[in-house]
Amino acid sequence: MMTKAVKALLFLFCLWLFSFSLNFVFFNENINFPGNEEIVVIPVQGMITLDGGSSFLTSSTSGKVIAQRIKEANEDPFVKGIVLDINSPGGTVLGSKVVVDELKKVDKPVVAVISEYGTSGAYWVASQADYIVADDLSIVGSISVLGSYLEYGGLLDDYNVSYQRLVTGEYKDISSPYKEMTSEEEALIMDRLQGIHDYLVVDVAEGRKMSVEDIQELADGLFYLGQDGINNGLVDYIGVKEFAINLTKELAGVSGGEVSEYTEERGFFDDFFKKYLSYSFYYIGVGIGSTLFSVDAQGLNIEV
Amino acid sequence: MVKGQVIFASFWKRVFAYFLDFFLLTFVILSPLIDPFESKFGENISEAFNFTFGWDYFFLTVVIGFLILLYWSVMECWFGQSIGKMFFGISVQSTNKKQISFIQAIIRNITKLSLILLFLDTFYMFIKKKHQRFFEVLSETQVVVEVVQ
Repeated sequence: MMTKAVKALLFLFCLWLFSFSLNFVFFNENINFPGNEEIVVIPVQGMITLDGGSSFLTSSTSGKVIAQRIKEANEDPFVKGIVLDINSPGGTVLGSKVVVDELKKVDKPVVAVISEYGTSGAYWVASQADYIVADDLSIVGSISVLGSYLEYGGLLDDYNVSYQRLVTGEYKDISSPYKEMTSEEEALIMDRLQGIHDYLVVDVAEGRKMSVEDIQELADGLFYLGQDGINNGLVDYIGVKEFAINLTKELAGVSGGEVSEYTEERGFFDDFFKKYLSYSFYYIGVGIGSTLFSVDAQGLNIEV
Repeated sequence: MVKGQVIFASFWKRVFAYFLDFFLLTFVILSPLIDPFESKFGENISEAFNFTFGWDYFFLTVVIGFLILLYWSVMECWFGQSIGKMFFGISVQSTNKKQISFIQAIIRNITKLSLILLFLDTFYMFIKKKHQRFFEVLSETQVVVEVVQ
């Protein structure tokens, strides 16, 4: 006759077995039940940099974090489609590229919705979606590369401060803001910027399933309104986020389903500067303002 | 000790028995359900609240609640004690010193579904200076030192 303890352990095992069976039946990656389907909304907001972060003046969103969220959504069997909620002027080359690379691996419907602006690197990200939805007054495009920076050489001369050049390689200080750039240096930098530009154009063309020539024509750095985007092929539909979610559901063949949304925590200064800068041309294709905020030790900061 | 005298289990023995059962429930019985729970709602609570609670959450919550209630109720109804209580030598009986019924077991354990409810339920012991939680009074049950027969 079994003792009480053995019976109790047997009961414990039965409960575990029940729990295990539930997990196997209901949460098995290969079995999906109606109602389990989910559409994930991933925000792409603010300037995109590789690691993100914030300073007193501004903050940026991490391309790595966005890419990780896309990866998780793609691997999650419950997630049937992804909506990219874009409100970004672009960012650094690599910050945008990690997101683009991850989007290329996605085998689920992806719809990008551009609210206020989706320019430059952010448009590069959007171009990898199956469809782009934007408001008729959204700012899109600005497909180009920016490497502008402030040069203080003249200012230093005015104050009798000289730049003592100590380099072991001829071009080590090629983009130093403390000296005037030579025409040769400028040509070298422009050559590299052009390389990034060409890469961007080809990638956008592939993403949009348009010819490189067509995108090249549009890639002069100019921004377009959403309505113009419909005419020149940069935008597929005029609409807002709800429209994009419904479109994603339709593409994924999901009738109901949950909509899960990541939210971004923003600080006081983020909101303050966001409101302030909304009224300037900062948002149009990453203007001089962003360069001011993100000049690195070398001076040059390449952005798309 | 007078024959038939009831010796109530001490508060701390009951607390330790509860925690032992709690760990058993979390790491043994509910362990297969932890992964899907985390994958659906994130590993930390702030991430979890970024999601809209839907069918999945409701289903998992009901299942987990059901298993928690089933464990304590069945163990105390069938064996008069949970594994934690066995370990600390205490058991549950009806106030008339008989084995408790399944209904009694469910009523006395219902507050274990929520830590807040359990806390309030236990708080009653201190206010009334009794050896019974509020839901033990309702279910006419008590926890006593195990009588070796």
